Amino acid sequence: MTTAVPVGPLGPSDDRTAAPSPVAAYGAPPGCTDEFREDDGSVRARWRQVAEALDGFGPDGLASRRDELARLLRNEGATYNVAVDGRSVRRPWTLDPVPLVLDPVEWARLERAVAQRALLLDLVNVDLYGDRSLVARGLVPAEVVLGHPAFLRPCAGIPLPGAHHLFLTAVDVVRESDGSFRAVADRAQAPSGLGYALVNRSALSRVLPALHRASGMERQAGFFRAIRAGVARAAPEGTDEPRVVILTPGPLSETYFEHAYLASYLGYPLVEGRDLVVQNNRVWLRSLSGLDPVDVVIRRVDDRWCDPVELRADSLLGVPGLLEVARRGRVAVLNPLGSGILESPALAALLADVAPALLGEDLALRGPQSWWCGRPDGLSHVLAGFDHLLLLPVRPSDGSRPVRPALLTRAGRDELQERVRARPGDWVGQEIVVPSTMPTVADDGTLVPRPVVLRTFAVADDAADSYAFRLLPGGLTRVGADTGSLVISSRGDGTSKDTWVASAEPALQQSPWLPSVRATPRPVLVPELVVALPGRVAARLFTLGRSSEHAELVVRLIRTVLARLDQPIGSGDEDGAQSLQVLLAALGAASGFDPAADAAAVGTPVPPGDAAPARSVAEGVLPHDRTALALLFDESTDGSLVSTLGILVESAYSVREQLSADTWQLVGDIEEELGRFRRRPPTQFVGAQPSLLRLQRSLLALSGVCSENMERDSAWLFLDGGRRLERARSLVRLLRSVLVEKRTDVVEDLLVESLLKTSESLMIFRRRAGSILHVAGALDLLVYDVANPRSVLFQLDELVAHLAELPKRSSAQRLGNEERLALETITLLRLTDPDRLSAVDAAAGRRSELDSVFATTDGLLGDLLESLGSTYFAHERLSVLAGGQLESIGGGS
Amino acid sequence: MRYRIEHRTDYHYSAPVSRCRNEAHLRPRDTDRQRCVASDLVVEPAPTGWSERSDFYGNPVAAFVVDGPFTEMTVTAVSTVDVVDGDPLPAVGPGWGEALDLLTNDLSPAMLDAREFCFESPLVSTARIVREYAEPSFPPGAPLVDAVAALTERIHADFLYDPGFTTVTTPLDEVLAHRRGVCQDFAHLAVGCVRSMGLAARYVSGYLETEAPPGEERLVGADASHAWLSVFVPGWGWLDLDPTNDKVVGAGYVTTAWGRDYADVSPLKGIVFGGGDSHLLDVAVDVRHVLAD
Repeated sequence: MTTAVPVGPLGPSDDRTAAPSPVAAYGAPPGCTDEFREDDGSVRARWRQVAEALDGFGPDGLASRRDELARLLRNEGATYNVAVDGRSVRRPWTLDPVPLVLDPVEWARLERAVAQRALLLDLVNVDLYGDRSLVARGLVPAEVVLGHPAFLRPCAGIPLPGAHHLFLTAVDVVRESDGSFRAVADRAQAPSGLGYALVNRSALSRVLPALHRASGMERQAGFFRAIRAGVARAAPEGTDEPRVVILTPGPLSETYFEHAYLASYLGYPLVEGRDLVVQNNRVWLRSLSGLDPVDVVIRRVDDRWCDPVELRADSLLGVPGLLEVARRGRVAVLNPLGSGILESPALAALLADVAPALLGEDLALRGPQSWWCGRPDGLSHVLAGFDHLLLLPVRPSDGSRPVRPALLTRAGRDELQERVRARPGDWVGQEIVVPSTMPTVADDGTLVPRPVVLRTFAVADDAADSYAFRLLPGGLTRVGADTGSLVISSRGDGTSKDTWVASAEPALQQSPWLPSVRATPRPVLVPELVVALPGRVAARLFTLGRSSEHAELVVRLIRTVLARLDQPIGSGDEDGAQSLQVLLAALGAASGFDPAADAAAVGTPVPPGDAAPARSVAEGVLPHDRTALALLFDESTDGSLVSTLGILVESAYSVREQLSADTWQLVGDIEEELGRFRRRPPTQFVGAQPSLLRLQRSLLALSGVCSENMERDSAWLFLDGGRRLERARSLVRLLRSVLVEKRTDVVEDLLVESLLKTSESLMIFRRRAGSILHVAGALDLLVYDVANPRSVLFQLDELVAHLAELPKRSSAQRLGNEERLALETITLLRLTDPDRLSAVDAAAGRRSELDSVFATTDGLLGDLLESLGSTYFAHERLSVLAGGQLESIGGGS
Repeated sequence: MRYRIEHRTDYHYSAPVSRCRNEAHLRPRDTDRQRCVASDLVVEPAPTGWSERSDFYGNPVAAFVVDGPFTEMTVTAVSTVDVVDGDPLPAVGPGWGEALDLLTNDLSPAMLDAREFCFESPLVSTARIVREYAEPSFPPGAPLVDAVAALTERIHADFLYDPGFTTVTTPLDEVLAHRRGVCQDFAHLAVGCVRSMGLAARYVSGYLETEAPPGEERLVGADASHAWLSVFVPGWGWLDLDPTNDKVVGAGYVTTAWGRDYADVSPLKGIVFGGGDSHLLDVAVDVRHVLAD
């Protein structure tokens, strides 16, 4: 007897009928392997634990876990920069709650195969930059190497200590319909993804703590320990404790987030090319204390951009002279320059032929069947099977992408064939591999099948069991946006997954620190100020301090104004109206912040979302309302709240590795508020109140976290120094703008009250002075009272103390220029007093002494700012000297 | 024949340079037909760092650093080179099709070495328009030497020598479109044409004797550094031809370096810190015949 009950194609019965079962509802598409379900529909054994948990969560639980992951990642500042119309746009990094689960036995096989492939690439690199026996033996056609722009002749013959050229490699693998793994792309120069794999693990373990503990998966820390050990081995001979930096192209590069994340995880300074300099045949880091030697450069800059002297002359990302130092063996660059050639699809197509010659065994992890069109038989094969293949450009750096002829129009297909015929050596035809799918949480909390590609990472490790490369257990799994995705990239709309290798033995807690470091009898902590802080980082921290202080001031001031606006100004209330005008004018004057200069220093990427130009302010608001709205929400107005917050967020991103998770969460909150302002700039004050209050809280919390949780190192000195200097200067400007002109007593009372309120000093003033508001008293409190953390002199005293702690550029005991300027400012203020400052020049009706003293103060603080810039932050302009001509290729600041 | 070569480059910057880092291909290399007897490279202000090596092609390179501040820098290379007259053109040689076959399939060391010069390089395209220009000189069955001689003759006839029209990085399609350029462009074009046929050609940088022998006209390009091409003739060797003057390279020519194109062997290149927005550059070359001691 048959029943009418539809038999789910999805297998194992789940008796629970109460809550919808996400697992039971999950259907794998036909025609490819599903990671989760067997062909008969049952859940694969390695997934049972996870499947149970998924059903336990239910659709709502899965959706909320997905949101929770998004929140955690946002708080980490995990982003991925995507080029849109030639601009770099920041996108949030996303993670799906369902991890990819791999079977330990299967993983062990894949691990060996990936290690073998890494070793093979290593040997190929040695060969190509050595005697090129592969070419001489006819195993690799000359054109594949010599005709490829990534084969960099200046890099031939550069020595590296140790047995291996390659330090870290990655290979993307997909599971084919027959269940076997295929290598679809090799990454051999500066593989990305490790940082994302780390942050994925950390986020998922917090969202699925029970499952994470119970799974007994293999940990990641051992791999990072191997990285540290590998770095030490790669260091030039005779280096006891190598000094290591991570070289990033900067905040605009796609994977900047992970550069910073890895730098702080591994404890190596993150530097840009202009932070390094070559002198006396060594590489040095321009730090606050001068020049610190560098032994190992882990580079995230692509080959050709690394040295403008010998490689791309127009590169501002590299270090002039780096190659010459590497050639002399005085610095190790990891991976070695030139290894980008290993990423050529033409070479990948030949690896199976090369393996027996270099390894004496067959390649275990093969790519999809591929044909390089530079060989006549390859070309004819590819043209014959054109519609069933994927066409890969041999030089992806040209910006061309893989194409599937079957998806083109007839004309497009003909045109592509024509291009392939014209330059056959530029193309590889590859059989189409359909990646396996696995459950991924959709918006409504249901599970949908999505294709996945796994990026595996291998680090050179002579102690590794096989092939001298050790793998990160699992890796980074990326997910295609829809079932049909063949090309899965982080640039697309897909998401990512954590990757779990179920462990045969219970997992031990591992530490990423080297045992020797932990066992050392000496104190492990390096005394601060010895750890080099690049001048560029100091500059950005300083900007962060200034911008957050300035934003805070603008918010305070505007809230004071709003409080006044809330009290309706009657037609007869001339005094109230006048005081309001004065305050609004002061808001403009307080914009002592020069965002243009700071933005240039930061190298600002375009904020996420479309940064719509601020809409014109709606009609029908009060005229002073309009000015104030512009000061708040007009991005193009210097010192406006929105432009200041923009600088705050960008400078935070550019020193990401210096900021703690707590700090980062607050930056995320601020960025969110900023995003709202940008999308819909408020057209009236009334609606802006709640946002401003939230913002003020975040800003206060930010300064609190910085002052309570940050190590008192040079990074803090600059962050706090920026804040102090900005606070002193804007207060001076504010006071000058409001108080120079003598107004009626009623108006002045209103103004003084507002000033005190803005400076959080009204209560203390009341306690001291009772109910009488007077200018001299306010000046005493706001300028002279060194016990008031908001007073000008308090800021200056702090600043002098900070300056004294900074590394000295000259050994002499003389005062630095900055200290001299700060002391001069203090003396100037001390030589007068509140009474003299508040005295009104009867004839002119204004406070002339206050005007001139504060004008001079403002000027001195400006000089101090400039002097700090030239002492600690300066970078020089760089040009290219060509034999025939000289082109200037841009400047630093 | 012994030549004394003085190659002087003066830089004048609009603002002080704090430091520059350079590479010079100024010392003439040894070749089958020449030997560099002596070469002095003098840089003013005095360099603070100096190293010499051979590049990928065996050309001598000097790398140096000059610390400023300075606004003027002078690099002077004085070299003495003994040159023998070249071999006469091979009367018969392989057909260009035969040469192509050898270069594609033969794995002998000479062929492998030549293969380095068969492909596109940063400044030498082998795009279709380049091949289209080359093809008339390469009729089926033509001897390689004849084909290349015809090619250089055509370039000489079709193109106008026009200093100032191009720069060191003008691409070949522009040179082809305007039919004008300088010796470097003609060398690049000829190299591109030969490579577009699948054959091997390298770019040679060097010098011409400044004063022509009595009774002969002074050659174009004699007051600066010069450039020409060298074609690999299987079974014979590298054949140097000068498309700018439509001559086989022989007496009066001194080789400095060779590579895939100008970018591999530019006489001076580098990176300058500071130096302002503009600079002036003056190059003076003097090549004279001197008596051997």
